[in-house]
Amino acid sequence: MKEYKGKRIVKGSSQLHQKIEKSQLDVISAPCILCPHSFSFLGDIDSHSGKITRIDSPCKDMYISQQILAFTASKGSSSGCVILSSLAKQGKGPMAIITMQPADYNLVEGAILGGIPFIAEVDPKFFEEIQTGMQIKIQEGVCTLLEEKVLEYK
Amino acid sequence: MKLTEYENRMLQGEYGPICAEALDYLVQFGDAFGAEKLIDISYSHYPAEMAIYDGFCEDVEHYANQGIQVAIPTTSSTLCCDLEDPSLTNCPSYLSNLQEKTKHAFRKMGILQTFTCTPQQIGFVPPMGSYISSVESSAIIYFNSVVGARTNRGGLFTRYSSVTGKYPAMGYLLDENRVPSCYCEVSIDPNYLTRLDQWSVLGYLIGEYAQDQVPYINSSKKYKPTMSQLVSLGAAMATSGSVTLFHWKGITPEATQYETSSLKHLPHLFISEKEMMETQEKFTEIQENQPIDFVVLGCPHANLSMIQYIAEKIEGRIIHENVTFWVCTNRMTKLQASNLGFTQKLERAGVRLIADTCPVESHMRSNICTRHGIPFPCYQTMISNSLKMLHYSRNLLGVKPALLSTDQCIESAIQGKRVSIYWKKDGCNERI
Repeated sequence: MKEYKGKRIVKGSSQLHQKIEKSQLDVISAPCILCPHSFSFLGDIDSHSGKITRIDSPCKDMYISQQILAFTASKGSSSGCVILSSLAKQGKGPMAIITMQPADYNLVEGAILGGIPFIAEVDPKFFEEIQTGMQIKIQEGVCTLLEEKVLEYK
Repeated sequence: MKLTEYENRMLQGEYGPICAEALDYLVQFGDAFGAEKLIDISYSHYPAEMAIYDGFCEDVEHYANQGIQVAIPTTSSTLCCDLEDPSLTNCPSYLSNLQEKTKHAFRKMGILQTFTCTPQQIGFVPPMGSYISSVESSAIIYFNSVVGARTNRGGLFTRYSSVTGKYPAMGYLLDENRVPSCYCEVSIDPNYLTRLDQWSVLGYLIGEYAQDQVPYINSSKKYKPTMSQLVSLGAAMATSGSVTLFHWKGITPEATQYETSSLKHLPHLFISEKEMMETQEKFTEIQENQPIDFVVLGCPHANLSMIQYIAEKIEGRIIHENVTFWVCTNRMTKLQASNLGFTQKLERAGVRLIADTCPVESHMRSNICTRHGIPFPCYQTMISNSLKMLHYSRNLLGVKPALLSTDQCIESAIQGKRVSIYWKKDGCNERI
């Protein structure tokens, strides 16, 4: 299995607001949602349900809960941090976030508060290999494609 | 991260558990990005803790009840309603009552109840080169670019900066990250850049291209943007991208540090009137003469001169009965507008001068409407001079957008239908 390097920004934690050193999630394996565009947590997603609402996104109507959310870069309003941590509080946040571009400070604040692992600057080749519904694994700062079969999205 | 003796004492709890926790979060945050130390900051713009997000008002109330006070001058961002008169935005009382908790909590913590996205327009203009911590993407880009103060795209950690007066030395606080990384050549007839909608379109195009880079903007033409126009420009850049800082030769203070010729090797964008008009069309889904029901000006929040302009334009006229017309601002400016008679002129015409909030931050989002049994969408159409407002409202409020000049917005509100759009300067200077 090919491994692709990224930069681990937030380790993540299993429980909300728990200090990240105490309960670190070493390995996360989940299906991914690949948004082949930059992503704004204000406007591109429903802040209560975690459903992607952006009209021109191929991921429209998908829920990010229990998925690893992958997008190129974050953009837009600084409310993004509030929405991400709010989703995490409700248990509707993603299992992890991976991005191609360097991490956005605003979103990282939301990820720390929500205990969501965040890997940035992931090798762009990884984004070419994965599709929405494929099972991927992240460990430390390394991303791996586990299963090329695309799971039917529910 | 290397901490000072004072910071170490704070981390050990000498100044109370809240400060210790706040500093701990900032250290974690700084470690995530490899920051070597913490920096003293002199001002903070704090997130609003809006009632439309579950648990946030209760959370800040709990925080304030522990007796913590902010350590530096701190202003606050927008709420989900006009707290002095929630009926102006038809906010459900459940939400406005919940939002009241924020006001009391902020008072306890010593946070100024400014409730605005544009603190720079009410006098919070930190000195050039000072370190600050701010939320609100349009204020952040303005502080960095136009004022020359230094902040990253802040979020909820602004709370921790406010109570400790500290922020990790990283990102846009450091010289090396303020260097231009892409180049934009603007070749637009200055007559096409006289209105807020046009500056908004220009910003949107630059943001779309630059994303998270630092654009250096250059032009052989001379522009003399007003404060409002630069606010619109930056707000749009931080909507289509996550631009935190831009330099514009002849306009922003740090641009003088760079030689244009030495930057021409950077990734390049060329913007002419053609690209401007294409973007304007993309955000104009309402056809000419189609009925409209919602007009919004004041995104980001209007300053006093914009309110004056709208009030004088609309004086003696009345908006169409099917149209709701909001001008959004902050409570201090609203008070000044009332003292000067502008509010009364607007009200006589049927325009609502709204403080503390805006449509995007209000209960009109689809998920809030669903939860409170409010028919969605609250409005079918939205006419505005702000691309930021239209960009977010299209998705969040479910409206059909149209981008018009301030004058065209006012005229559409009076006629109850979208008036024709003319792109060139029509001899009218918006004076905003």
